[in-house]
Amino acid sequence: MSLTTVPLRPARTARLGRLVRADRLAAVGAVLLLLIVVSALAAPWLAPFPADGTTATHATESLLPPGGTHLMGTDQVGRDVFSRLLYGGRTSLFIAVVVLALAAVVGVTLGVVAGYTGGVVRDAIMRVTDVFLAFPALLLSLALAVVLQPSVRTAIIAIAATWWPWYTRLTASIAASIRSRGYIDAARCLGVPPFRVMLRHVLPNSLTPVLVQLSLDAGGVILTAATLSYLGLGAQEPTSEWGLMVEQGQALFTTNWWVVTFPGLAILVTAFCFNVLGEGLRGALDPRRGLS
Amino acid sequence: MIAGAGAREPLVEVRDLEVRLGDRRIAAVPALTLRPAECVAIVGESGSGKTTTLLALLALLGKDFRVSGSVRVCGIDMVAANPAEVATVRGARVALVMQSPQSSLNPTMRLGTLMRRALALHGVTGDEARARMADALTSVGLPEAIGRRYPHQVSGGQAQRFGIAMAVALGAEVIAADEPTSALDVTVQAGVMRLLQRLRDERGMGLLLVSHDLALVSTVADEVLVMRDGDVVESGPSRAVLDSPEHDYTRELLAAVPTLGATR
Repeated sequence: MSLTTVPLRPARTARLGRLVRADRLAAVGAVLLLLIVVSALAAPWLAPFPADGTTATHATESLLPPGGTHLMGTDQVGRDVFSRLLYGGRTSLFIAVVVLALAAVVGVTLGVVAGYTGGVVRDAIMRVTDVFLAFPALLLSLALAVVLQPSVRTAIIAIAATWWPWYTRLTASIAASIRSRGYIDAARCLGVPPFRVMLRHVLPNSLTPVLVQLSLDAGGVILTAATLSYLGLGAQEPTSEWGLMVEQGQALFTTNWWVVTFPGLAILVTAFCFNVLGEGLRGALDPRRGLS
Repeated sequence: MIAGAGAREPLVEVRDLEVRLGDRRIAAVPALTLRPAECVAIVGESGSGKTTTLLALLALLGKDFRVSGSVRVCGIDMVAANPAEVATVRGARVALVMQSPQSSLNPTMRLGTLMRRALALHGVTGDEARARMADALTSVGLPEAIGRRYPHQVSGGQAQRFGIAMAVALGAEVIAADEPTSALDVTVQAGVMRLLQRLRDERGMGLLLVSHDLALVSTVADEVLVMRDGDVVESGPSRAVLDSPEHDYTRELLAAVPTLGATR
């Protein structure tokens, strides 16, 4: 972007504008994501056949090609693919949000404690983290998903269990560098107890990179959730989930392409949007870019 | 030394303080006394142990440092006291003002929130807290509206004044300042020094200044300790130290200050 478009003393409202101009791709990603999230949330009202998103089947209408009534056609048991896609978005996004929330809460908490406290506490937390990181994430998720009953909840637990250590590692290194900042000394000098120093001073100042990482990871979580469902270890029929829809439709690809293509595209677009948004945030929040 | 009555009781009294890191001695102060409405300055170049001494007074050094001797601050022995006792001194009775004012303010917290929380931590809330905030900000020459700003929205001088206002609001008896003006430009420096002087004179606060700038602090300080490589090489009333320095190092520190028209 050219220098002339950067106001010298930007008002708070101008910030979003600059962000959008700085990274059009990220802005497009954000808008698309908003659309995806809103349509998933509004699935019961938007879906032309809400019942198809859950339990209904219509044997007589199976495998109809995309057309006027069925925008994206129907699947083997006659369910409207578009309706199931909207409901599937609810499941996939729900998994992503819960997994990331769990991973971030656990990971960031441990990371702040490890980074700020240092010493034995740090060593203990980081070694446990290393153990979890030593297993390939998907393998660990698969193992957990096999041990527990396959379900959306299992998928969430399995993915979250492999995801939190990254946040611990990230936050621990940030917290360790924040520990030596002047305002931490100042807070300690005022007599602020350690727990509150972590909560009010270390945590808020560690969050920017975590936000970026969350956005970058959301796509990965959706892909992993889809993979687990695809392998039969995640969401189960009749729940709609994008990975499950791909699994059910893949055999029909050559004859009835629409059953597998639309959920596949949904996964692709959503993961891609999260990634460009994350990259955009990373750039925008990097002080070296001079945008924040 | 004769213990004076009431208000003349020393705020800070150091005897045979020694700080070691591993087997290296990094600061040794045989004696230092600060009484109300007095100003003591510790002067020296980087690495002379002056900041270490200040941190030792507040028991802020890390676990790796070994501190021995007697350090009484507001009646509490900071070397021997447990954390709870130390906590009653820090902040409430002795406030630390730091070298780089902006970095000593949490960037994610509005200044007003910061001060309100600091007061709440010391049991001051509601109307009393609001009154103290208003009084403290006025006394350091800041508008009350500054409370709505974030640290990056104020200047270095304002941030330093705010740090001092925190000390005033908390009712500190001693302001311990580590290079309080070295991050500021010259005119702002003078303003901050005048402010510290006024607080000493009007509110009877004790000032403990740590600085590399002998000429600057000696205008304010009653007593000066000159430190080099961890040792106090010269100490005494600031007039005497400034007018007839006994140690070569003190002369060097004075000569290091450029004077208009002077040739060295």
